[in-house]
Amino acid sequence: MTKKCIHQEWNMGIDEAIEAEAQAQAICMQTKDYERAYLAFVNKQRPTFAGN
Amino acid sequence: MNDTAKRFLPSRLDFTTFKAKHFLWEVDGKVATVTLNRPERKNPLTLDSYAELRDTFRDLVYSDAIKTVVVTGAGGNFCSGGDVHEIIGPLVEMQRKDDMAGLLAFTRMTGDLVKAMRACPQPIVAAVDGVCAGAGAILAMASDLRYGTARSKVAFLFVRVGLAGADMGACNILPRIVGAGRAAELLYTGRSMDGPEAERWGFYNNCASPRPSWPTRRQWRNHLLTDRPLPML
Repeated sequence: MTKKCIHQEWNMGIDEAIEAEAQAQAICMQTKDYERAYLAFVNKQRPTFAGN
Repeated sequence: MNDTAKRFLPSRLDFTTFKAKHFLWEVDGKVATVTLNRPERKNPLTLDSYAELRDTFRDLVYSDAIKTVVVTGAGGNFCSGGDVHEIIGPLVEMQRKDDMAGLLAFTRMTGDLVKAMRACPQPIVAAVDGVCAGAGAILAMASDLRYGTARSKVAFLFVRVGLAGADMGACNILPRIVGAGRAAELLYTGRSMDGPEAERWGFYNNCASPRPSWPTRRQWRNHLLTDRPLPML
């Protein structure tokens, strides 16, 4: 996701890029990994990501 | 500004008497300083402070009284990013409720802060000490000039919390500041950069210790901060 964003935003204006990233990040916030990271932080553990 | 031009200004806010609720707002001459001010938590952003910062930078478009804005943090840290309990927790709750519209409203709101910082006419100077992480690193990135201390730590740590490095325009703006290869390393790994490296990589205009060094360059500062010829307005 990060590499794709750097690539596709190369020729975007900043405002368009910010909107593209708002959409990309909202998708990532729907992943279980995001919840895992949050729970790990709250429990003072290292997160184990599963790629979903 | 002449009287005719003044008629174009909306009478929204008097920034010389403005009091912010969720950060410190101090005005010295024509220089305003935004100080993120929850030092016991390393100055995290909250939903309220995000929105108030966004509104403040938007309204600065119409301010003739303020010519430069300094952004900094209280108590030896710049900003630790989005507050875990006041922001991340509620976002995870939105995820559990399948509230895509809510998540998108949040990411657009944070993006709007960067848009407002880029669109306001005042140069923004980030004075960075200590922790500068996540959305804090974005605030520094979205400023025009960055001055940091040797001990400061800048981390675009989004990938470490299960997110994309693409946050608030980072994949577009950071490569313009430090170059694509360096931006890729910072965004792919989420690792932190200390002050000397941040200066070497061109993220900081200058790195000094123990304080950011820009205020000592008085003549240059005065020029930048207040007495600008028309091309700099």
